[in-house]
Amino acid sequence: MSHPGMCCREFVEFLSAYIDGDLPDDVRKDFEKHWIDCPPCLDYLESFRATIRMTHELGRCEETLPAAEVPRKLIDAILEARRRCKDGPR
Amino acid sequence: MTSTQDTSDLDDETLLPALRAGDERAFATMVEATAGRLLAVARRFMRSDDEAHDVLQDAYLQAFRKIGGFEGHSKLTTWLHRIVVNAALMKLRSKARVRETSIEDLLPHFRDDGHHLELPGAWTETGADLAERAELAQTVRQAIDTLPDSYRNVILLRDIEGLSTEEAANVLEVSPNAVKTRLHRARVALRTVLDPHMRSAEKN
Ligand SMILES: [Zn+2]
Repeated sequence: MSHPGMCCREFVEFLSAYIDGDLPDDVRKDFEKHWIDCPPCLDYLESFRATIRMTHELGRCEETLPAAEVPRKLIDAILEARRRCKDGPR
Repeated sequence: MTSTQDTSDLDDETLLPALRAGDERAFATMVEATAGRLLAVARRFMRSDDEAHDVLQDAYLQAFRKIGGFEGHSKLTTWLHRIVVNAALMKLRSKARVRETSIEDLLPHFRDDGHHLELPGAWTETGADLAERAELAQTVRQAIDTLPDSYRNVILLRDIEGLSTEEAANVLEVSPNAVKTRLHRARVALRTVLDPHMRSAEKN
C-alpha cells in the first residue's frame, strides 16, 4: 500500500472538510485518489458518513417528538419567578 | 394540568403586543403553550431533569426581559427556542471544565508513516432508517452523551439542531474555524464510540 499525495492520517483529518465541501480542488483530488488505493480509509469514510447521517436523523426525530410533560409545579414556579422579577420588558 | 399543547397555534400577532406591555395573562398563555416543546429542547442539552427545569425557568425570565427587543422577524416559538439553547449552553459552561474528560482516547491513532495503527472495519449499519428504530436512536443519543461537553455541544448545535458554522460560533463564543475543528474531532470521536455497535446489525 503506497499512497502518493496523502497518508491515512491526513485523510482522516480532511474528512469533515471534504464532506462539508471545504477542500480546495487539488487537495480534494488527492483525497479522492487516496481511498481508491486504500480500502480501510474507504470503510472509514463510509462509517464517518453514517455517523453524521445518524446525528442528522436523530435531530430530525427528536424535533418531532411529542412535547414533554411539564410538571404543574414547574409552570407555577416560572410564573411566580416572573412576578418577582423587577425589571420588566425592555 | 400539564402543558402538552402544540405550539404552532400560538397567535403571535395578538400575543406580542400584550407581552411587550408586560401583561401577566399573556405571559402565562405563552408559557402554557410552549413549555412542553421547550422542555424537550432543554432536556436534549442537560443531563438531568432538574437542570433542564432550571434552564427552562432561566429562559422564560430572559424572554420576559428581552421581549421588548424582539422584532418579530421570526416566530415567537423560534425566538424562544434559541433562548432555551443559549440558556442551556450558559448552564453547561458554568458547571463544566471540572469533569471535562480528554477526547484523545477517542481519536484514532496512526503509525509514524501515517497509516492506521488499527485498521478500521466496515459498518453494516448506515443509519438511514434511524427514525423507525428507537433502539438505534437511543444508542446514538447515549454515544453523544459520552463525549466531553465542549465536543458534545458542538455536535448538538451543528448536527442535531442544524445551526450553521457561523451561528454555532456566535452561540459558543468561539471563531468559525474553532467550530469546524471541534466539530470534526467530535464526529471522529463519536464514530469511535459507535464503532462496536455498528459492525453487525444483529448485535446491540
Ligand atoms: Zn488510507
